[in-house]
Amino acid sequence: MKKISWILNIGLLVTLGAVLYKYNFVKSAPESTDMRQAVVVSAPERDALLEEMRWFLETVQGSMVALSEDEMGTIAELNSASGMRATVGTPQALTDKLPEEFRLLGVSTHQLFDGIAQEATDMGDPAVITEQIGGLLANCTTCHASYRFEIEGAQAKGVNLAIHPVCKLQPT
Amino acid sequence: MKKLSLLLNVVLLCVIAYGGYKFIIEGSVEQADDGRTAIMLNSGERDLVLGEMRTFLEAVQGIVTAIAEDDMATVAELATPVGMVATEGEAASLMGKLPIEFKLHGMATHGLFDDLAQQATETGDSQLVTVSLGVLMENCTSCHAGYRFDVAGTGK
Repeated sequence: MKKISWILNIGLLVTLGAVLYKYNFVKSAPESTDMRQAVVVSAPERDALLEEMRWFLETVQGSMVALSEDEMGTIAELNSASGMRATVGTPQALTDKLPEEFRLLGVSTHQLFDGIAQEATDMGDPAVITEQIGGLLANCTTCHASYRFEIEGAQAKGVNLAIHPVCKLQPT
Repeated sequence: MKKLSLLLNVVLLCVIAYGGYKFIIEGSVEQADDGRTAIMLNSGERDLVLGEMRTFLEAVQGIVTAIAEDDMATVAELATPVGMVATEGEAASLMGKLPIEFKLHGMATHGLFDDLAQQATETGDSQLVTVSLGVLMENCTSCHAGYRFDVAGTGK
């Protein structure tokens, strides 16, 4: 019994050592090599921008589901909410911090959502809408490949994002 | 001596059980101020995971464009590399920081890309592939709604 107990101890120590070795030394992730341009904003601004992007993602996801069910009304509703009207009320302080190319890409993306809503309302051609969503997603991939958000200083204060229109919108 | 050995048995078993729980189940998480669960990583790990998600996004963009062109071969070609094959060689230190729900979600998403590739190849039906892509993207929206990545010690 005593012998078994010591053998078990050795086995447990070897197991523990192997796990620690694997956890700490084997294939650790490399140091940061993110070469994307940093867009420096406050923490609440970043949260609002990320929330807007999650809303974009939900719009695209909902549009794909609606597309498969030929629900043009839903596509129009979802995309219209992510269109240019979602930019109304964006704080000027935030807009001023965004690089010009980033801003243009953002406006173009909102316009593309409007274009999809328009097509869903007017012609309702699923093939055209799929193509439009593909084009819109190219904006997403370009933006994500080029930019990242970085928090300025510590926790920034003074920008009230409660009025940001995207934050008020809910999926239907 | 016998007592010491038994005590050591118990201590080592407890340490391994706790480590297993932390590594496999709990991960390295905190409650973030935006209501999501923050997964605490180092900057290299965060870059790695964000890079993987950008690859997902690029695959989805290409797949949607291919669906529009009824090009199912391209759908399969784009979905396969982001399927389960992409999970090979993940860093153990990173996996240990991800909570179990996140790990399962990630695995399910990779699996759904494989299913999509198979469906595109076998049926060639763009309508079915559109349905599957919509379902797959639910994984993206629910994961983004529930989790964020923060770099430990920087507050971001």
